[in-house]
Amino acid sequence: MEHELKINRLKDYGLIYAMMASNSIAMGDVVTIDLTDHLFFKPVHVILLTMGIIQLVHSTGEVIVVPPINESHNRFLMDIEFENFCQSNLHKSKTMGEIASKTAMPIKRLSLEYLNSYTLDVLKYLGTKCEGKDTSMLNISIAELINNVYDHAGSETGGSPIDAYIFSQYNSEKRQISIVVGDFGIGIPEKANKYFAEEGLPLRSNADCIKWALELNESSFSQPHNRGKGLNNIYSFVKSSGSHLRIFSNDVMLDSGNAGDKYGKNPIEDFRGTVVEVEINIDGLAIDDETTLTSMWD
Amino acid sequence: MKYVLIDIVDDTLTNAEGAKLYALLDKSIADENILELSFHGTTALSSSFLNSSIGNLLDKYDFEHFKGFVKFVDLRQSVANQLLDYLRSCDLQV
Repeated sequence: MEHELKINRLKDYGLIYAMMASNSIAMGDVVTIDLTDHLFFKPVHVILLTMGIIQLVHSTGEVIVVPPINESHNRFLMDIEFENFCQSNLHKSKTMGEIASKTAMPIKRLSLEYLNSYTLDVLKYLGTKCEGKDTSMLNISIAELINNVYDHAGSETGGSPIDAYIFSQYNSEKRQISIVVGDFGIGIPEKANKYFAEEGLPLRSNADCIKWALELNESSFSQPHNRGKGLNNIYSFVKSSGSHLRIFSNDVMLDSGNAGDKYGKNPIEDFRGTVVEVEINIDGLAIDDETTLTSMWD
Repeated sequence: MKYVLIDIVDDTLTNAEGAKLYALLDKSIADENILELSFHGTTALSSSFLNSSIGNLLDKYDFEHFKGFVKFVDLRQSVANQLLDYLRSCDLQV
């Protein structure tokens, strides 16, 4: 059976996830994803597209992507090795070539093994856009996002054997570095409510679960070392630097920025999992202070 | 005894490396040896790394006792701030 999905903007990605949720596809089907008229590809689109295609390939065996008609959009997808990643790197994580433009990192399948080298690569390529600024929060944000997936998003056994992906990009017009991590875990609301149920606490709305997950020292303690500081670390940094945080988890979305926190319905219908996008405002980063303190306590 | 953090861990972002630091500091405190931990060359500490190292030590030892045996030295201001923020998030007066 053949299926065609036309994807132009964020909400259209829900078509992919709705198709999978409805079980209307079977192995041997062919799904065509038509990106002909897709608008500007934001980092979150890249992750959603990658995750969706990989899921569809697992379900059907064949996915055909019709590239965008806009030449620069098409070149962008080629530049970040999108097709290569979805095909040859589907089942393995490997180091990919540098991006010619030096403004985006290749899409990467998450692995703790590569956490340090990935952050070093981001600093090497995108950190150069932050001259005179303290880039430590760039490293820390990536680490918190990846560790969060490993600690919380996985199955009951933890250790996250789930599929999860990361993509990072510099936007010269907005002077932002975006880091997006997506996973097919059970989602923050379900994880939090599972924890509340186990603890005999009242269950909360999905939006309240996200609020709770962002609070300092609140955690579902999926792993012994969890202390509820990781997401709060990112949230606090976003607030203090004029940056932006978006969380899409199951059917809820948080949009946190200068205008405050807005919770709403996830525009990507039938999405199950979590996508976290951090847009780091480079001009809001602290000045790089090279002062060295001799000692901390004395 | 003085140790340079980047010489004893592979990174300062993961739980696994935090556990290495925990083992070193725990032994030193248990043996009542004063240890200087240099942060020379360190720029970023994730909460996972700190949870698995300092957080776990502060579950085991009183903060004053910890400070008596572990001295943090050679820190960039941003690293000192990260440590202070972490300790404050543990409800410690620093």
